[in-house]
Amino acid sequence: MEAEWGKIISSFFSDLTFLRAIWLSSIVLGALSSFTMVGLVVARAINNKRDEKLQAHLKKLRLRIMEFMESGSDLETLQQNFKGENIDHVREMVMQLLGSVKGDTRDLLIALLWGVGVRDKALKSIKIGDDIEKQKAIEVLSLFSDMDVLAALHMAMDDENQNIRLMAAEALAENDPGLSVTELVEKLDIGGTVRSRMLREIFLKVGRNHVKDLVDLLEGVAIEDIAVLTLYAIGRVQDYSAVPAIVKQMKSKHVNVRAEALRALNAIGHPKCMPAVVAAIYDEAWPVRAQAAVCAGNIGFVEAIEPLIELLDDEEWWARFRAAEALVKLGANGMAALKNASNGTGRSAQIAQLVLSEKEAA
Amino acid sequence: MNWGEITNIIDGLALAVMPGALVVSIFIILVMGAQNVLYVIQLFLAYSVLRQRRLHISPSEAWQQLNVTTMPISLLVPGYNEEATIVENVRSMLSLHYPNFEVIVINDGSSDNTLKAVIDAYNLKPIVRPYEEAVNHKPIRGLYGSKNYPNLIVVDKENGGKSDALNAGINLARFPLFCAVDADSLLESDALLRAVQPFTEDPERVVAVGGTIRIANGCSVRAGRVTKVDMPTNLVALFQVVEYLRAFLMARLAWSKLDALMLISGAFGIFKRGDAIKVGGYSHDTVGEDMEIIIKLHRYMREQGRDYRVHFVPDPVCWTEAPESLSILGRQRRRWQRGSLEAFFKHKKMLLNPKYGVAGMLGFPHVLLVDVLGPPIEVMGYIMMPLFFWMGVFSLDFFLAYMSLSFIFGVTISVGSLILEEMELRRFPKPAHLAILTAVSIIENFGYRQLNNLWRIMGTWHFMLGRKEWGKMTRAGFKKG
Repeated sequence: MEAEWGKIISSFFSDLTFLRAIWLSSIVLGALSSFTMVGLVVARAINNKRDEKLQAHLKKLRLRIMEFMESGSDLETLQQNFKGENIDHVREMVMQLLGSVKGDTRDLLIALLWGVGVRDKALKSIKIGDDIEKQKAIEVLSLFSDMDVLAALHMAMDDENQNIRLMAAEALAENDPGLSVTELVEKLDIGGTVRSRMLREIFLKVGRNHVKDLVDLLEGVAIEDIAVLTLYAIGRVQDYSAVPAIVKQMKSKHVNVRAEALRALNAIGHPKCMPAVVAAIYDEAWPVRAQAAVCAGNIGFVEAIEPLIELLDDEEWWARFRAAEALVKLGANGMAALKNASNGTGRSAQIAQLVLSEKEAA
Repeated sequence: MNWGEITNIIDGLALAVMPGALVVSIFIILVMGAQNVLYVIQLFLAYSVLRQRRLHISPSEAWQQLNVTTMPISLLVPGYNEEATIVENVRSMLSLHYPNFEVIVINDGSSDNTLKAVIDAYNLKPIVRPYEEAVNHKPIRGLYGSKNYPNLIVVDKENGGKSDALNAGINLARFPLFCAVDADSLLESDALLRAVQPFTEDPERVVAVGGTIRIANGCSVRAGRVTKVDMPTNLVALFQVVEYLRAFLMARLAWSKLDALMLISGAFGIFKRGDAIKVGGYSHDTVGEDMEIIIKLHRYMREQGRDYRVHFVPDPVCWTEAPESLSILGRQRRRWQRGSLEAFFKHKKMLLNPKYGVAGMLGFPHVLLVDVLGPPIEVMGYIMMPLFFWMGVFSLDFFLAYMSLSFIFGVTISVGSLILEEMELRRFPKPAHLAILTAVSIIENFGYRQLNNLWRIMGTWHFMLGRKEWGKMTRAGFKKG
């Protein structure tokens, strides 16, 4: 029987014509599609059943964890209590609960992760896991700050996956006061391939512990992205001593750097920066002019009233609008200047009228 | 004339047209073969993207992890005669999980009580809001806002069509990003958080991002949210579920990977406001304004020599109601085809022009193959193949084999999309859903696929006639959960 089938198959292939090839392709594709879909439907039915059981189990586990949180047991009792429990299930439940608790309860849950071995498993996964496992591991490790964890996170900052490097940097920024700004720049390839907005928050967290490093970096920076990030962090840290370094960046050839420098000055709000802000109202790039107007209005530089009146006639609508808004913020003198401008005709009068009517309606 | 003479004439005719028929047959087979090869490549590309995406996180985790780094968004909701659904849909948009956004509802000169419904529901009063007249649109009659809903603005303007309404929204928007959403669509609560990720990860280069559109027919909807995913009971809607899976999970993802995505659905897309203004906003002279703005962005960025990205993200979902009657669906498909052709011919200089990079060398030829040549070639195949067989150009065996391969290949591609869905996203909760969709991907080859091509041919005809109207779309409304 087997020999006969063999003959049939070999004769089919020996006589394989174009027509037979088409039929053969149809049969193979049809069979593959059918079997795959049947397989997927069956697998889904089995998985759904398994998921139902798992969800019921996780619900009980969640209750047990909540009971544990209330009982205030020590680590040994805790380890005993959750012995034999699937580590991944405990991790999943605890990570869910962590988002909604703080203080001692949060510390207790973190101790539970340690106690049942979630931290140890994460330390292994971050080294040998796939990308998803590494990301999950970093989520767990970001809750700890012991030497082993910090070393593992520093190692993860050399990972080839950009997301993993970023996540590790974020975890370190939270937990390792020793993480330097220069290490961040180097490991995350800032100014190169990595452009994420997450960098801003990471830079800010690290910068809070290293204000002097930030200022030093700003003094010697030539790369646009690094300058923007540093200015963002310095601005949010609000260190007055950084004002001269920030003002120096107002001479940068990059529009983004000059605009970010103004945002930093705006956040710090120190009167020393007044000449630089007023000068920026005449910058060649409209985003810088608009930002200078915002800055002048927020800090309250009445010296900027005349330049702002000129800015009301800017070619760019946003610069005109920000100038009008700034004049409103500059109190009685600013308002008087704006009302005066609204009496005329043309672009200045139009924007002044619109902003005044918006203010009156509010 | 006796039968013998007739057959002689037919034989003579067949002999005369044989060389031409062979050339036509080979051309049809080559074009359809090229389409099929493209589908296979798309499937593999889509798979590779889905495998590489970041760890999937729950809505609450998304909020915790992503909210700090997001950029503010203006949600633009153009509406025309949406009286029945506008209040609930605006409420659902106001409750989206996103740290900093405003909702700008644009009443495009509705002839029903859309404006009154939304004013009454949110206790809106006339407001003054200075705005930049950066892109063209019909005059604005009034602006409305409320202190109770500081991030809601309603614009009442003269009727000018969807693109005109969106342009008014772009002018009114004060945030760096805007998101165009259909007034009758439902965004998942974390859709903005997820869709904005490409802007967060690459804020300088990304200019536009699209999300997935899914069919809400059959699903339960409560308070503007899809609460239970289910299959439509209507066959026409079911066909569209499979079509949308193929379009979004396979095609858009693959073209996004190649940096040659030529379409972001008008129902859900996020754009950088500044760049949209630079290309003049949405065009008024096309019904394919969603495709045209993306092509314009590609064109502008390439002409300016800017490094840029247009992305598609599969996770954020916008639910929409699909037409359940063939007549309304036909109208929609004719309009889509007309829109594609308008956009294609308006920017035809990009075709195979190296100056426009992958968009010109890959994206545009794909539009040519699928939207311009695809429908007439496929319909020609349906007509010519039986004709050639009857004329004896090729044998019954070959005809049957070719038709069988063509249909089975179509089914395999649909099954491929279902496999991607099941392996990576799993939005359909029951195994029965997968079985139904498999059956539908087989049935659609017998009638629906041909009808779709016919509609597209009609759309092509309407394009050639220079028709401009949108056509009326009637909706049944979502199923209450």
